[in-house]
Order: sequence, then structure tokens, then C-alpha cells
Amino acid sequence: MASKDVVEYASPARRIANVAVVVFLAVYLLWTILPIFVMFVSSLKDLLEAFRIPAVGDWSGIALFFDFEPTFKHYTNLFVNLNFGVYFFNSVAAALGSAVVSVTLGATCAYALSRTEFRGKKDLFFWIISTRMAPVVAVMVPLYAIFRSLELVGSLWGLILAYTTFNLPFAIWILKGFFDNVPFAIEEAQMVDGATRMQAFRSILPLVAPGIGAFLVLCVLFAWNDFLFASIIGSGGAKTLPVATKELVQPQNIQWGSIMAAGVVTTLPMMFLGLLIRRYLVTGLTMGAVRE
Amino acid sequence: MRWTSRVRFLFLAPAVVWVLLFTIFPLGYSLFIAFNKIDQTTQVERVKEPVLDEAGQPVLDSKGRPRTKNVVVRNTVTTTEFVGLTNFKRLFTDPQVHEAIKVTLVFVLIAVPIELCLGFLIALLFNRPLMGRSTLRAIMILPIFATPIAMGYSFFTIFYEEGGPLAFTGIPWLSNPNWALFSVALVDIWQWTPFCFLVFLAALQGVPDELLEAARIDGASGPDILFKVLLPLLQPTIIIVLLLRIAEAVKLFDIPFALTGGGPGTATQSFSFLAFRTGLRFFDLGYASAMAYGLLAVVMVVVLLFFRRLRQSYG
Repeated sequence: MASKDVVEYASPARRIANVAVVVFLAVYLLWTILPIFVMFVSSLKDLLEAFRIPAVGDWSGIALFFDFEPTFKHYTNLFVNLNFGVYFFNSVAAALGSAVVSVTLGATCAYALSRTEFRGKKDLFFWIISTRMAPVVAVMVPLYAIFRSLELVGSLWGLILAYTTFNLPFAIWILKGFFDNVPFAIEEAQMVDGATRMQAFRSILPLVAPGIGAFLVLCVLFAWNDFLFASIIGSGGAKTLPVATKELVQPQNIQWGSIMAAGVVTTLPMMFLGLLIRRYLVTGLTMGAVRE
Repeated sequence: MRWTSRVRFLFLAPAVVWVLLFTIFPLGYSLFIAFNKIDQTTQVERVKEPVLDEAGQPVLDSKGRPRTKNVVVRNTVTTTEFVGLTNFKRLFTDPQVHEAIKVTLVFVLIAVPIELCLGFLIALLFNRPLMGRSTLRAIMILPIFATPIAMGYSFFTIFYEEGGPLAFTGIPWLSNPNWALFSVALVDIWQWTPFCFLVFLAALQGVPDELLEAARIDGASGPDILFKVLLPLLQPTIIIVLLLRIAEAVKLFDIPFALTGGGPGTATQSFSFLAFRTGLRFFDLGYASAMAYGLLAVVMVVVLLFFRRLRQSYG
């Protein structure tokens, strides 16, 4: 980097370019934060205050936007009157349940795939990856019919089952990448000493544990943010947060404060979790195609 | 260390059986539905039933006849009629389907290129010493984690034309059909540009410094380095991101569902949205399944390209 500084002397054109870059990035950051910020602030405002916006060009009037008595009544309304505690629990249970099942079943499968060769392995991979990327609407109708006949519609088990269907292929795919990076010599030494395959598998688990942990979070994220499955399978007995948020939108008398508060309750935990695993994000979101 | 086939089976079977059960079976079933016309009719019948007393004996009226009451019996009858390719043929003649395809296509053509270009540009700007870079990067990627439905409602208040923060522009964000589709795309751009940025930044940071140094010493200008060094070098990554974004974008559902409800009219009714409505609102299951297969076919082409690209890079 030092040599770069020598080359880049600050000509006036470059200085203007630098300012332009900073302005551009600042505007973009503002645009990134704005919807989250508006959601957050609106959730703390009374209905009348929420839509009080200063006139154009009235920059001193911008204070008007911040001039409000913060109220937590929308949050208390959600949790006391509207059962959001239950929906929050449903979201956690469905997302975490499917993530745990996916990672558990996915890990053994991925391990076996990583350590063996067999005919049709390539086809198996293609099928796995296409399952992950296939549109939900493609299986919506039959899945609904199947789940209804199994009496799983409106139950948390149904949701866990449904989410596992799209998280499991993803888990197999990504975890195989993790196992591929573990040298076989470790297990080999174990098994020479008389360990069974299962014991050898367990012995290398700690090596991939951070990756598996991050991946678990990613599975939770995908299931948590889902709306389509939740509205089809979970409607009735197992309402999750996105579905409950949607149901706050009534044709008359829309409770924007409560909707925004519900949005905050839904979104904030995921942003927190997401930032925790940001090291694994590139690998996870590109199905392992790009590594950081 | 050889695997005994039984152990390998035990390792593989649970996951493979699960995925098989919940993909192949529904897809097969869906295909079956698509070739049929499924009608659910509720038949209402009035049935006279004898009134029974507690002992289970018929109650007699004053004339000594058993008393009866009218009972309404509702039967939902599902009729399945094989109609061959009719549902698929409808896809080609149904103006609603054409409209939805157009909406989806325009959406993809607006959102995806902007996401990629903007993401690449910001990644370039981030790929150099910058004050508080890791904090800024963390803020930048927040939208990736946001719940689309919740953000749809948040953007609804932002696009609100009578007093929202963007009302001063005078743009009919949600009430004009063309602008509404653009607004939907804008939300998608908001959410997924950070993803493109993140991946491109990772790729850019993998470019060895010596390479850029060498190019600079050879007298390459900024644009030269961009077009002749960085872009060719990052080409595989760009294609991966492009394919992933297309595969996701054609499935567009959540954003219009929350932001516009498919409206005004059908201006933002994406293909997924239409299939959803057809199947689970209007219960035309056969037709909805045919639509779903159409979408699946398109996505599969993208997945195939993605898979090929993946195998080229990693063998």
C-alpha cells in the first residue's frame, strides 16, 4: 500500500473524485439505513406523529421528524393484546427446529459424501442443489395437500418439516465443503487405532464446529424470514412473525405503529445473528461457490 | 479405510430419504395434478333424521309417528378429471399469465443489473483504505438479513404518497403501474445490492496486490486495470452472482405481496404471485401446478448453468 501512496499524488481532479466517492458512499449508507431507521422510529411514535414530515427545503424542520414522545405502547400492544409472544416462540421453534434437524442429518450425509466416491454422486449433487434453488410455489400445492392429509397444517411440526425440506439440501451442500477441508489423516489414525467410523466422524466434528455453528444460524435466518411456507403450512395454529405481521394489515384502520413494531421485533434479532456470522456469509450465500 | 456399505448407507440414508420424500414425491404429485382438473364442490343436503331420546329410542310425536328433524349435511366433493395438456395449453393463451411473465421479466431486467453494477462499484470503493471500513461494511450488509415482508411494510410508509419521506419528489411511487413495479425493484435492490457488494468485495480482496502493482508499473490506467485486469479476473464470481440473483429474482413474491398486493391492477403481480393466487386463493389447483412447472423449468435452466460453472471452478 505504501507504494500506492507515492503514485497517488493529490491532483485537484483526484481530490474532487475523492469527495465524490465519500458523498456517494454516504448517500448509499443513508439509503441503506433509512428503511430500518424509519421502521424503528415509527414503532416508537404515536400514529399522528408518524406521518408528520417537514416541508420540502425546510431543513430546520427536519427536527420535526425527531420531535416525538417515544412510546412503547405498540410493543406492549403486540405482546399483551395480540399474542406476539406466542408468534415469536413459533418463529423461534420452527426456525431453530428445522436448523437443528437439517444440520444433524446434513452433517452425517455430507461427511459420507465427502469421504466416498460412488456412481451417480454428481447427479445426487445436482439434485440436491436444485432442490435448494427450486421455487417454493412449485411444491406449494402438493405439499399443502400432503400436509393436510397428515394433519400437519397449522402445526409447528409441519413448519419444521417444511423448512427442513429447503434447509437440508443446503446443509448437505455446504457442510460437505467443510468436511472436504479436513484432512483424512486424522480419522485414518483414529481408525487404525480401532475406532469405528462413527467415532472417527465424531472426532473431527470439533474441527468443523465453528462452520457448523455459523451455518446453523444461516438456516435459522432463512426459515425465520420465510413467508410463503409459513402462510400456507403454518396458518392457523403455528403463526410465525411474518404471517402475524401481515395479519395486522386490515383493510380499515391500519395500525402502522404496531406493524412497524412487529417489523422491528421480526427483523432485529436476525440482523444481530447475521452480523455474528458475517465471516461465513459469503460462503453460505453463494452455496460455497465463492470463498472468502 | 474402506466403508462397509451398511455404515455408508446409515450415514447417507436419513438425509437422502428425507429430501427424496419431500421433493420427488411432491413434484410427481404436482405433475399429476397439472394433468387434471380438480374441482372442489360443496354439496349441501337436507336429511331427515329421527330424533332420539337419551336412551337411544326414537321419540314419538302425538300421533305416534317417530319425530324427525332436518339435518344439513355438507360434503366437500373433490372431483378429479383427467384433462391432458389443457392446463399447460392455457398457459400460452391466458393474458394474465403473459402479464405476469412480463412483470417478472421487467423486474429481473431492472433489479439484477442494477444490483450487480452498484454492488461492484461499492465493492471497488471499499477495496482500499477507508476509515472505519469494517463498521461500514457491517452496516452495509444489514439489509441482507431483513425480513422481506417487514421491509415491504416499512417501504410502504416510505413510498406513501401523501406525506411519506419521499412524497416531495411528487413521484406516484405506488399508484402508477410503471412506478409501482420500479418501487418493487427498488426494494429488491435495497436488499440484495449488499449481497453483490459483499461477494465482490471478498473476490476483490483475493486479487493479489502484486498483480495490480505490476499492471500499474506497466503504465496501466485506472480504467485499464478495471476492464483488463479486474473484470476478467472476477468473471467467474460475477457469473455466479448473476445466476444466483436471477434464480432468486424470478421467484419474486414477498415484496409485492407486502408492498403493493400485486397492484395497482396487476402491474406488480409476479409469476409466483399469480401461481399462489391461482392455487390457494382460487383453488384452481391443476392450473396452478402447471404454472409452477413453467417457473420450475426456467429456474432449472439457471440452476444447470450455475452447477456447470461450479464444477468448472472446483472440479
